[in-house]
Amino acid sequence: MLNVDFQKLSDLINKNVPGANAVVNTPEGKSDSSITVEASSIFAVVSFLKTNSEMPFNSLHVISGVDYVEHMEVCYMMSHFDPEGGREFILKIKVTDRVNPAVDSIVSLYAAANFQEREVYDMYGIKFNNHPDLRRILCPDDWEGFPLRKDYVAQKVYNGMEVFPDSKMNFEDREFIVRQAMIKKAQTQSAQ
Amino acid sequence: MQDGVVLSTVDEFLNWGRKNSLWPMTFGLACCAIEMMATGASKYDLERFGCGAFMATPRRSDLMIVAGTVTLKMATRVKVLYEQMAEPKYVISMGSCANKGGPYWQHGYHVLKGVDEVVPVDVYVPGCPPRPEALIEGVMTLQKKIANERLLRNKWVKHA
Amino acid sequence: MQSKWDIGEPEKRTINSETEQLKSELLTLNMGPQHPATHGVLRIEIWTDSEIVAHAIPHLGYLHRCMEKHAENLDYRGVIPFVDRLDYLAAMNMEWTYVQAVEQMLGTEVPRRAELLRILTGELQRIASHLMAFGTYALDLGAFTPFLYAFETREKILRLFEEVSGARLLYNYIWVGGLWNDWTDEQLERVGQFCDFMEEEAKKYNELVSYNKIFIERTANVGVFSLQDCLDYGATGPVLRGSGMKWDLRKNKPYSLYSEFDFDVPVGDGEHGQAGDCWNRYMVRMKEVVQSVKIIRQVLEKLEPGPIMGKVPKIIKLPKGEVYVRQECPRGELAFHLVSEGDAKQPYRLKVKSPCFTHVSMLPRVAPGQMIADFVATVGSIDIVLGEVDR
Repeated sequence: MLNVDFQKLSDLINKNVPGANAVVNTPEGKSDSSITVEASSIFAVVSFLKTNSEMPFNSLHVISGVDYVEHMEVCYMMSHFDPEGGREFILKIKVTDRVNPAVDSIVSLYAAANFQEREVYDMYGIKFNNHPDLRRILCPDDWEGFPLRKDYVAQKVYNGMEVFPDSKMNFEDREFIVRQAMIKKAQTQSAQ
Repeated sequence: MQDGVVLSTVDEFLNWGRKNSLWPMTFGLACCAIEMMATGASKYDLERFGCGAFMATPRRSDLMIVAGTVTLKMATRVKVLYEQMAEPKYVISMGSCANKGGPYWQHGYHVLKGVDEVVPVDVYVPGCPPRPEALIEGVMTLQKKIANERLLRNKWVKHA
Repeated sequence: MQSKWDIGEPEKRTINSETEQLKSELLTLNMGPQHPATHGVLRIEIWTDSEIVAHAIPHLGYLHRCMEKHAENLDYRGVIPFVDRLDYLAAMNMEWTYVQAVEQMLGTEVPRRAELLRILTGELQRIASHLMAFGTYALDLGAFTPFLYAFETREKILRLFEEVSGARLLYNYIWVGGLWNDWTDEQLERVGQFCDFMEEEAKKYNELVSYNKIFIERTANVGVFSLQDCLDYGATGPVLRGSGMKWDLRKNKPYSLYSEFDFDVPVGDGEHGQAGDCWNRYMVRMKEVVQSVKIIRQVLEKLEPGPIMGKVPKIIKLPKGEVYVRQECPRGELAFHLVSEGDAKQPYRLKVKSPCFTHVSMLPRVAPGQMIADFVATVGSIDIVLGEVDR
């Protein structure tokens, strides 16, 4: 991450947006830190980040969803483009409802969120309230299921075409190659 | 009377005319499209085989080179475009994605495993992406296939 | 004296009384999934009022190849060929970004020669990608000769890449920890000769296309993206620089060894037309080609013999955590969000931030009020590659 003092930023958020409960996650090792806030306060937090004068963020990079099996997370990559000094960091929220998840949309703040939120809806099923045009973007409109969830099973037939036809799924050749490699390894080990 | 001298010579002449002026339709979908364009550019010249005029419309072309991955969303459009072409028409499936799904065969829930699920294919060109020379070999194989056709000598039309 | 062609004042001209009630509606055109401008399978639904566009709605997903689902089921090295096929015209940069993300979490040391050669291949790939953008943009606007020139020059670069990595378009060359094959001195000398050749060619292209009166009339003052729009929509790369902001990740957030190099960042300054229009975006790309040649010459001076692969475990397992890595690719800023859950051989989640996806979302903003031919010029100037948009 770039140029962001996490403790200072989370204190700023906690002071100016009541109910946000900003928490800094510092993992061990060389991974990136991030800030987690409450899912219901995301609109207020993002509008504070856009308009404040101490650490403004003038652009939204991407919105990414992650499916941990008991809950899902939505990560917003906030960034600031300025030739004198840029900034970026990860802002996360947790969504616990898997049946009908819903989060406020930030399209009115950053227009970049339009396509990104549609993609999160397409892949994970998380609905965004007040989105002007929430429909699937990458999969066809009449697709069933949300593909990037961990418990997703693809449908068998779409519009008369088989998605995984048996005659083209070639698992036997791969298993044969793996079996041959194991036989050879056992032979070289017994020869030693 | 079927294989008489006159009919077979006329057939050969017609086949010679058709195989040396195959006009392809630009149907580049993904990475293989770039190699198809490179085949049409000046270093590996496809124009010397007669395939120089890349038509954008299916109504005027007689060869469809399916270059790239065909997804389920796109498959209906492939079929519509194939039906808009006029007889006699040929299809070359270029690249492993169009042959059998390519590298996306195992978990690709949105990838059609091979374009021959929707459209009858004449020549398959393997590779990911195939070199321009491989595509030229595919076109030459198709030319050999056309040279053996029997338009006048058969009683019924070929692609009924 | 009244001539027989004078049919009276405009208000009194009626062919029949129904003319006042003439209904006009918008016509829907599909700039459909198959169209001759070689961007791939993009469908834009255009609603036009005679020749002027009223709305433009892009429909994506015709090349959705489920790459993120594949990445969750393959081990870390096996994802590299899939990452190649994201933006197939700039495959080296894609691989480099992904490998940088994995190396940052693993903490590997990459040897200096490998870093310098990565910069060399990255910049050569940037030149090849911009040449392709130049050739196909001229083809969109109706000029066929620049396309052939661009492809001939590009073949020289692809020949070098083929000798080093084995493939012409999708390489699988940059591996975790370094590179898998080294460059010989003879190949590096040919890179130097190519640099001289490229500088002459760039001047030729400028005379042929960039300062050509017809080209300027077609692209200047067309499709203007204001700077505030670019920031709102999250544009990066040549689109952002063409609108006037001097932001380049190689200078503002240097990764790898870019802080040791001396080069300029070209910005759209309104030499013809105004900043943010198609001509300035195109010109930023042409000037970047010249800057890339400058960087390559400096790399050739700094290269010394040494190892090209660092120490990497045989089976790569990353510790728990996540990382977000950005790099400056020819089309914008590419970023990977890599999440790993403890000891697993596969990524838990790999999210690709693709620059062309955000640029396509800007089309509905700038389309209303343009003519259809201007709209085609705008779509060509933002340089879309559908493999990246749809993943």
